[in-house]
Amino acid sequence: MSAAHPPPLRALAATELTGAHPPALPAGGWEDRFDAVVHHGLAPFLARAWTRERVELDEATQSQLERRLEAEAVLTVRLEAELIRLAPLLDRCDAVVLKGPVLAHHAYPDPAWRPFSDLDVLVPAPRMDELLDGLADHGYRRPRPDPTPGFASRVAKATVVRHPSGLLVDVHRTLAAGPAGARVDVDAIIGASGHVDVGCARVRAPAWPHHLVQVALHAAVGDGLSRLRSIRDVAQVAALAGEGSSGEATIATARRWGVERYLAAALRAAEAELGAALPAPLVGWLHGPARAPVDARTRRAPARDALSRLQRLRHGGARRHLTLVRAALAPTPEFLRWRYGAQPLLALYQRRWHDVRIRALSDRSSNGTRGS
Amino acid sequence: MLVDATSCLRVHPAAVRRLGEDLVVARPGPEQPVLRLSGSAPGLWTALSAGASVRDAAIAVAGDPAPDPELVAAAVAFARDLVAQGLAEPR
Repeated sequence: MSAAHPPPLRALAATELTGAHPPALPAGGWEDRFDAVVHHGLAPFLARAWTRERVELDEATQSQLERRLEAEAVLTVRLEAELIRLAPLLDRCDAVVLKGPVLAHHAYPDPAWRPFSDLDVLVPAPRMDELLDGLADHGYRRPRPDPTPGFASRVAKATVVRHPSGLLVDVHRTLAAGPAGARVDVDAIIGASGHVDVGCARVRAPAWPHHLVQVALHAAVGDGLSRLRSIRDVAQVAALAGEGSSGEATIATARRWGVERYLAAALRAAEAELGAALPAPLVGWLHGPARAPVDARTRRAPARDALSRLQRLRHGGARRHLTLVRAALAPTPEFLRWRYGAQPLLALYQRRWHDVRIRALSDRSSNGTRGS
Repeated sequence: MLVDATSCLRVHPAAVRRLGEDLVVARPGPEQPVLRLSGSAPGLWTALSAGASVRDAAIAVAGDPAPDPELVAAAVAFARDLVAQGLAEPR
């Protein structure tokens, strides 16, 4: 796989990545790249490069960078403080904390290198409603209603809740949208999880092999390999999860969950984009005869085409299918009012069915184009 | 209880992140204000959090067993401020 991002950004994303051979970091030109640096989540790396005099920044960019770092630090520290408050609830519901806070404190050399903008937690489906109720007791509200009862615990990849202060918690039922998340064994993740300290909070986090599959899914499926910090997460966690039996456990996990190609795509991106030196077991698997070349379709595909909906229907139990069908054809009046505004109920349902039909026709037409 | 140079504090759980030379500190609770500690305050915070007395925190920051009385006074004021803001209590 060839690298897709400009070499200067790739070089920045590989800042002090152990054993990596990234492109050379240019000293100049960062004023024009600042927006891309922020977009890719690399502001802390730019600050690091600047304080070590590896890049030059004009005064305006220095000020922009300082403001950005302060905003990131303030939000991150508020979210970490919120984890202290939420930790008992998360523990009670067997929820594990994913990504941001755990990676910042346990995968990166300095927590300041890994800011985050929300809290991601994974909860077993049967505990989903209990956790959402608990978060409601802590002041969190759902910005959008479920289309049908049970949608959050049976169908949705994740449910976002927002505190009036602006803090967000993303409550995951599984690790990825669509078929990629269908076979993820959440109970296995919870069962193998352990407690870690995130500053003053003690929370449950996935074992590193599971966390590596998770960050790989996020990078490959969630971000379509378009965001360098997601790829850096993969390299960073691979260094922890990839050695010896952990590396083999990671590969076996990806195989069991049917997500090998996403793990492979994310690891290849870490090699190609960052020049990451992956642990031997992962390299052996990635470049061994068993692995086919990365399928180009791994890059972001339309998430809601008919094929993906069909695959979603194929995986999961009958109640889930029923919930999905009901969400499409007979959502709750509350959801319809949220979606289309206040109208007579009959008009709302007619509007919904019209939309569903248009979407089905559009899917059929785009599939025909794709097939031709 | 009055805080003086001999006092030790129980610093309440808080989230802390380094921002350059400064520390950004948040108490649990989404509506709580976020503090940015600069100058000698990050060093004082770190020492007080580790259980040092206010005077010992001033010594740690000064790197001198006989710190400037002004620094000790500033450390006392800082410790009182932490108590007033609910971030710590005297032990």
